[in-house]
Order: sequence, then C-alpha cells, then structure tokens
Amino acid sequence: MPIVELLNARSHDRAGFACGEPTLERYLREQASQHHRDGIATTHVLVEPAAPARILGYYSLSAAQLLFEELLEQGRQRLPRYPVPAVRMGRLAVATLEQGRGLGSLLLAHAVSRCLDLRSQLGARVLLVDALHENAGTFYRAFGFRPTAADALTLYLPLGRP
Amino acid sequence: MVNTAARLDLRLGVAEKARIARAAALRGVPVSAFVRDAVLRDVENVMTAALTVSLSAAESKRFLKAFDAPFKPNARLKVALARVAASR
Repeated sequence: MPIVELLNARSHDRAGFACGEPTLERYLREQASQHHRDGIATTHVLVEPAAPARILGYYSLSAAQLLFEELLEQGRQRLPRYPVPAVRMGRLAVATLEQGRGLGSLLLAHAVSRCLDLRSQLGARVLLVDALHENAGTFYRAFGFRPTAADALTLYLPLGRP
Repeated sequence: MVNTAARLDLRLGVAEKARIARAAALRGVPVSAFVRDAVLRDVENVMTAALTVSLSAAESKRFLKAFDAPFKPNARLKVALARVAASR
C-alpha cells in the first residue's frame, strides 16, 4: 500500500516524475521545494515503502480564503464577517505509468482527510481545488466538489462543522 | 512541445535585452525560450500566491446551507476516505 510523505528534495526523485502535464512536472521539479521553504505551499508525495525514492503522484496544499458574492442582507447575517478560511489544493498529479490504479482518488481522499484534521486546528471550513482542465474538473465533481462559479475550474468542497 | 499559435510582443531597453540574451546564452537556450520559461515560472508563483477565491451568488447560497452542517461526503468520496483510513 503506497504512503504519503512530505516532499523531501534529497530523497525523492523529482526529475524522474512524468505525468503527461508539463506544468505539473515542472512544478514538482523546479518549484515545489522552493514554495515549501518560502511557506507558499507544501507538497505531499505518494510512494511505495519498498521504493521510497520513486514518486507515484503528488498534491500540493496552500492556505486560502473564500469570499461570498452578492449575498442578500438576509443571507449575510448568517455569515461570519471575515472571509472563510480555506485549504487550496493547487495541484494533483499521478505518474503516467501508474494511472488507472485509483491513485488519484487515493491522493484526493488523503488530502480531504488531512483537511478534516486541519478543520479543528485551523478553522478551515472548505477545500478548494484548481482543475487544470475540464477533464480534471469532471474528476473532482464525481467526488462531490462543485464549481465556485459557472464554468469555473476552481471547485470547492464544504468541510462542515468541526 | 510548445504550442506557438500565440505571440507576445513587448518593448524593453537595449541594455535589458542584452542582459537577457547573455543569460539565455549562458543557459544555452534561445532568448524566446528563456523568456517564456522565466515568465511562466513567475505565473505559477503568482497563481499559487493568489489567496482569495470567490463563490458565485448561487453557490454562496448553497454553501451557507452546508456551512454549519456536519461534513457530508458523497458515496464515492466516502469509499475513498475509508481506503485512506484503512491504510493509516
């Protein structure tokens, strides 16, 4: 059973990761570690314990906030006055050779589970995901995510009350 | 493979262009590829740093209903979460 670990630039083979999406490959190779150092985003990689250097997939998380548009006064009263704290999964990728094994679902569920833990510690009430294209959007919608606006490629999943 | 259907023209100083050309030569790539890659890298940084997302009015209304309710995963997410819980 693969496990999820925090990306370690020394031990994980970032250059060997190929998923068919150049932006997702480049992010892992060139920016993920820097974003971690700068506190912009954390990257979590999926590996088999027996071959711990080989990255099967990854997701990255950052902090975000969610604003509400054009609410009626009546609705606004039920809102907290500050924006809702959110976790944003900016990227999720599975290695080309590993696709079709359900690892995308595993990574997504892992991220959701992590967010449910964070909910009580950080007050995060929603998980936002950025879909790279319409196909990715379909993947997230199957797990109950909804587009933040019509045709938007950013989707959300309410995390409920802690 | 870069899709070259779109163009981006920009004005810049002679000295700036010389510096860019020198840097591209040092890296051993054409100036256009160097500039494109550098800009795209910065685009990623900006996107990642973009902190705020807005919900449309319709989705805001829907979200409010879920806001104080317990977490309610759909069937598919429930199965995936159970798989994660079993692996811990």
